Amino acid sequence: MTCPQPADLEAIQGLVYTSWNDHRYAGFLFATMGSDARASRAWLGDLRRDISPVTHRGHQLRGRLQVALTPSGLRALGVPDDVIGMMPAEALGGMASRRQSLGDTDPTGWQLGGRHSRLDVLVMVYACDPESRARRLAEQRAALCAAGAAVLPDELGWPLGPREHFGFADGLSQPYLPGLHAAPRRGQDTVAAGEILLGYPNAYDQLPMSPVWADFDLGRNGTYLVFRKLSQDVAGLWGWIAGHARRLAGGDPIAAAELTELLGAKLMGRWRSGAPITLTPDRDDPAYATIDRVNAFKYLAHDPDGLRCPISAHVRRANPRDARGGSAASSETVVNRHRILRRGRSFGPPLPYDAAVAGRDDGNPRGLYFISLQSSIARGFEFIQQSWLANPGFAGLHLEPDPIIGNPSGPRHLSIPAQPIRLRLSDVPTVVTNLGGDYFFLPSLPALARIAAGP
Amino acid sequence: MRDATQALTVLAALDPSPGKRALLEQRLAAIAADLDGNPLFRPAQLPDTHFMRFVIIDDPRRELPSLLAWETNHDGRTAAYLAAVARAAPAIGVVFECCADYPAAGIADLDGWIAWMQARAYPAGAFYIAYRGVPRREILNDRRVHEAIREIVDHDDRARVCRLPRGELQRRICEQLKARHPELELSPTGDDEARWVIGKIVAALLAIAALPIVVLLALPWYAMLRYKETTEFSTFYARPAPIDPAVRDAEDRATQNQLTHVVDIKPGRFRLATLWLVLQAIDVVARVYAVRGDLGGITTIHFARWVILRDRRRGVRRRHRLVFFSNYDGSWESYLGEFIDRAAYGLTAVWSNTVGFPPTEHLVCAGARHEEQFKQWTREHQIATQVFWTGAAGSTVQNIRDDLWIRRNLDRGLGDDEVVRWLGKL
Repeated sequence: MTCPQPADLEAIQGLVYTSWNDHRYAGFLFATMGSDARASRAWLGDLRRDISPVTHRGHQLRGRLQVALTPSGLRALGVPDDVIGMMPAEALGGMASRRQSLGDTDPTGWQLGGRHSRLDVLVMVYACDPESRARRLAEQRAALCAAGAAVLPDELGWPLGPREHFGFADGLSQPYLPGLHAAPRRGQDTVAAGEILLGYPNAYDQLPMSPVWADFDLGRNGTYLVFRKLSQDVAGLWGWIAGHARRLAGGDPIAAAELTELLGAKLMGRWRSGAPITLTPDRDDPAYATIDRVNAFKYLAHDPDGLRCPISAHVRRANPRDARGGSAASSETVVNRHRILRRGRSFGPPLPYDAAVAGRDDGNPRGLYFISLQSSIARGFEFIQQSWLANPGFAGLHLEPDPIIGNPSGPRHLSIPAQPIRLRLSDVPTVVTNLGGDYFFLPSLPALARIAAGP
Repeated sequence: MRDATQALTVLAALDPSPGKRALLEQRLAAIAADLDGNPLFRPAQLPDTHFMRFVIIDDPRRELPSLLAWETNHDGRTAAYLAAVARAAPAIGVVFECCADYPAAGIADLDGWIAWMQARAYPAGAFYIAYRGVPRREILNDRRVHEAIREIVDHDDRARVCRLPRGELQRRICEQLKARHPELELSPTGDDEARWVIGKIVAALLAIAALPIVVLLALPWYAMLRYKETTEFSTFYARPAPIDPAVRDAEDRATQNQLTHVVDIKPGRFRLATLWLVLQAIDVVARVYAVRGDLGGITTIHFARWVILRDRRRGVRRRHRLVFFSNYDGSWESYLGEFIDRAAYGLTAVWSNTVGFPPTEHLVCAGARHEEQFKQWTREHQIATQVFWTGAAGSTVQNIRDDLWIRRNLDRGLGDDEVVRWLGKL
């Protein structure tokens, strides 16, 4: 089978096909299991019955639960080492071990995971109101504690809104994963099911490596989940943009305000509404932000030199579409071998645009719980982060890491192609910082049952 | 050919006497820890060198002696280069003196030293250069030219500059450059177009001359190949191959990275001969076709070489090895991905002749397209590089090619379209 069948959809955790956007309140619990594997398995056996598969869709008052485990979590639950050892090297090493490749800060100071705190379990709660979220989190915390686990403080998402904290519409170009919906949307790329889910042929028409326990394939219908708690300095970003806009506008406040919007869109590759700058280069036009038009563009065809959307723009780097070298078709084939599903949520209150542009921070922590799903973390999340975003030499650029994600080492320029000559800004600030996270395995429901059954 | 960059690979057996190996490891670690400031040997003193590395090659089966490999990519002829190295960087002796049979007088006896080095120099089976024919001093000069132009443009009054006609804008930049940077070489030099055209004609003639032999041998060779492909062993990885922490730590560090890979060639003359032929073909491609930074769609390799390491022992079953040295841009994952996505035919043709490679069909098919298996196989045979030095840190292949193009077209009276392109590359 090249893609999930109805029976598989009963087995796959719902998060693979939905962000649970009809549940606006998300909460995340991280725990380290205790030493009593039997008690831990009993906890998992109970929890498993509450995990929503793909087929349980729609709004549920009690909320939705999903669960992911790290290799150390699997070990604590009694999965043998030689089974866990069939997972890819980066999943086994964990996010902190990949610090150099990801350009992260020193993991000793992370709020989640890192050098000194082992993360075993991630319980994700999606609820329709803050009360039921609090209730469910408390229940889950109590159940974990009863099984002997140590649980970190609740990580609470901000109620889901249309924009991420920098003010841009987000999550617009997710690839289409076959199996549930009949067809992709206009401009939406289709990925092989095996790019996201284990147990299916991937973009190379190969079955990804999978942990097999005796005769049971633990990997099948599961995926790997990357969780990162990213802090966003919203005033830092917009204050910096507005400063350059004022300088370039030469004292005209209206021109400066327009230029701030334009430079922000050049940095991101989309206007704040989500309208692609490739299609509407001069002004934000929400008519291009509709579900049918928001992805209906290419770079090589519409904008090979980046005169509309700079080569360095965040969305162009994160998904270079037809412009990653060679012909359009070969570029798209290659690019579609590095696609992920994003399931992130924001945390902390938004900062009003006026305050951000004035560079006035209110001191509240805010950012993004970045969550991605892929069958290979190395070829999915890590590749995009490292080879496209943080890479200062991406696509012929020189000393130019992604202006949003950045790269802590070395000088950071940003060039914006223009006629007759480009504009280059040379003091790009660091506006996103990783506060911690880890690499998890998001098992299927039968795999959870198998793990709970024990050796 | 004039000024072409050469591949020198010196492979010297380590001195087996006690303590020598530890001393070598200690010295290489000290050099690597501070390439530009260590008291032993500073690679930056090497003349006309683009990239170099030191690697200790051990035999995992402990049948063959351990070797010290010095991989260097240098301008000019090898003998002249070694003489220049002895003059400019005699401290390199602290590394080689840990090898067996090192001359007692060391570098002081220049001819003896050069002869010792050359006796241990192995030819590259295939050698690829992203900027063939371009000496290092030109690369550094052109990088400074581009840097200086960026400075000028960044500090110009943008509103005023944008009103100038494009040709005028380029002229202004050139004038400022000449006025501010008299030390830079700005005179236009052409590309070696004629050289590549002649090379292509020669290659085509050789191919035609070889045709009768090829036709004669093709069928029996192919039958033998298919038989081997169905019977030879491939490693299957159900779990990730273990990675040497030293390999992992040295990876994904900077713009430029390195890979050293050593694997046994499949036993028997058939595979050795096939491999030799494939490498010859790749070498021809690299010499006359892929001369401008694009090797079959891969644009991130600065220098790469394959070296066949013949086993000269007698009375035992010989184990010839294939050593691969690559100097590339970006991460390991992206490099391997480019390999598979863009050059799977070529590298399958090479490595299918080595032990454990994923199953192959018709020499060039399947093989590396077993993406995950190929990556694990590469991991299994990749070894740690003790010292890696680059002479153009921070520049990607494409950066270097852009620098060259910008300087070469600085003062050439470009047409309107070309001026647009020139300004666009700044």
